[in-house]
Amino acid sequence: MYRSRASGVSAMILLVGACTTVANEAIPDPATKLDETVFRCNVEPILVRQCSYNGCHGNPAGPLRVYSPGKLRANRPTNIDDAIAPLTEAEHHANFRSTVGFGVDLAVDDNPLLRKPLPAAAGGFEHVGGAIFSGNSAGTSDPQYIAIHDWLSGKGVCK
Amino acid sequence: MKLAIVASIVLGGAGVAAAFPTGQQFDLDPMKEDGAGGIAFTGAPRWSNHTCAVCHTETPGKIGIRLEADKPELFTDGWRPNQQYHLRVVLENDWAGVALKAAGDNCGFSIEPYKACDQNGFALEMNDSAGRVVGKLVPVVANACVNSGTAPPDTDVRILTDGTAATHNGAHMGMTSWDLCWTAPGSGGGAITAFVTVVDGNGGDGTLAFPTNATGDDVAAGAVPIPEAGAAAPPPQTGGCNAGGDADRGLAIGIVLAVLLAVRRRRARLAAVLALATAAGCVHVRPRQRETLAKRSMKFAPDPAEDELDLHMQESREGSSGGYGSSGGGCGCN
Repeated sequence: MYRSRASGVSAMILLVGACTTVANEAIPDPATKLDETVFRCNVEPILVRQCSYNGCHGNPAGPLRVYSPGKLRANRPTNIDDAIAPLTEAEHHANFRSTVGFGVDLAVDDNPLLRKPLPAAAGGFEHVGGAIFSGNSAGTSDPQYIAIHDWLSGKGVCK
Repeated sequence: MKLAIVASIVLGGAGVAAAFPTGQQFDLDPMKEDGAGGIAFTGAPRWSNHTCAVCHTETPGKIGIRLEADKPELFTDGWRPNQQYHLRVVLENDWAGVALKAAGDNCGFSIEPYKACDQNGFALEMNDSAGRVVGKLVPVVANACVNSGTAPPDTDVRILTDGTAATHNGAHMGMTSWDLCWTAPGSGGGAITAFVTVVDGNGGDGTLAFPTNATGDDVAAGAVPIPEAGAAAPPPQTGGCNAGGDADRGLAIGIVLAVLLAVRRRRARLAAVLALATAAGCVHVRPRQRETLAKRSMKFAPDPAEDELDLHMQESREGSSGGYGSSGGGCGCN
């Protein structure tokens, strides 16, 4: 009788001991980990040249939305001069914010910005636009891959 | 000069109007201007097979492409080392902005009131089997290849600064064909593919505000295989049964006809037709095309754990079980 009561009390103590407070803390803003100046120098030109087309990432409905002259603009242009004007500061910053949202807590090599556009043989996957870093079979020596990799690694330098 | 028709391949596309009405734009810095940074999406592998449809989206695909050469044996016997060929890219079934064609160059900013132009364009490059650009491209002036010097500004074809591709120059409106010259590489290069894409522009939105845009246009793209003269025939395509190209299509039609002729009984012939139609449904899905298939919503049981929970709740509340296609739940564990 006493033994079973003691067992019950022990079980209760164990259950109470399992209680814990789960913090619902916000994750750090990924933008604070990555250099926007280096992004503008080394990464944004790649995205604008390779990815910003209307059927690709120049589409506001898709992930990694990229603004660029002559294609997608933050404010709907009323004439072609507005459409092809250089990017505004707000658009540059929006491109940065759109890009840093990709898997910042992942290992750099696993970041979708790098992995998805690789050739399938090099680990690329599910990129509707196919292999973009296709300078060689590995893709990882493609200058564009290296530039983005360096930026994500915090090693990029704005020349 | 007589140009012989050699290859006619048409594929559908999508997109907006002539976003790059002048060929020079293909070389402009896309960060500073409305340029492409040296890219002309010809459909070649080095550009991930992208064509003008990356911008000109949602096109009906009603137009076609024809590639012609002054020496028709280019497409039958193959290319000969260092031989120069006069090629012509033809936009077939031009329909977008066709009502503007009659005005010719009498349109645009210089006309008062403004009149929209029928602006069409193309891009072409030649690749070897490894995807490398081969040979040399030059424009044509007065029916002669511009092998030296600079072509005049009103030439209809422009070569990219790095020489890798030919595009429209945009000097004239209503164009549906463009002439250029291609000099084949030295011997031993093997099979070459001509990647070509065309845009049928509709004149923007018809106003001075947007003389060009990327909507309401049409796009077509194709790849024309050209063997090396005297070399062994290239190996057949493997890895799937959706091989493109007229040669494969002709072979498929030949097989179908042969089977139908061989089968004389009506029921057997019907069965043969059904079997062949089923075989035609076979397609090789590339990894990058599997995104939709990989989506959670495409699976019958996207989350087995969630199914188990649903089953458990159903058992508890309704005293019944089953129907979710998964195990789990059990008795006495409410």
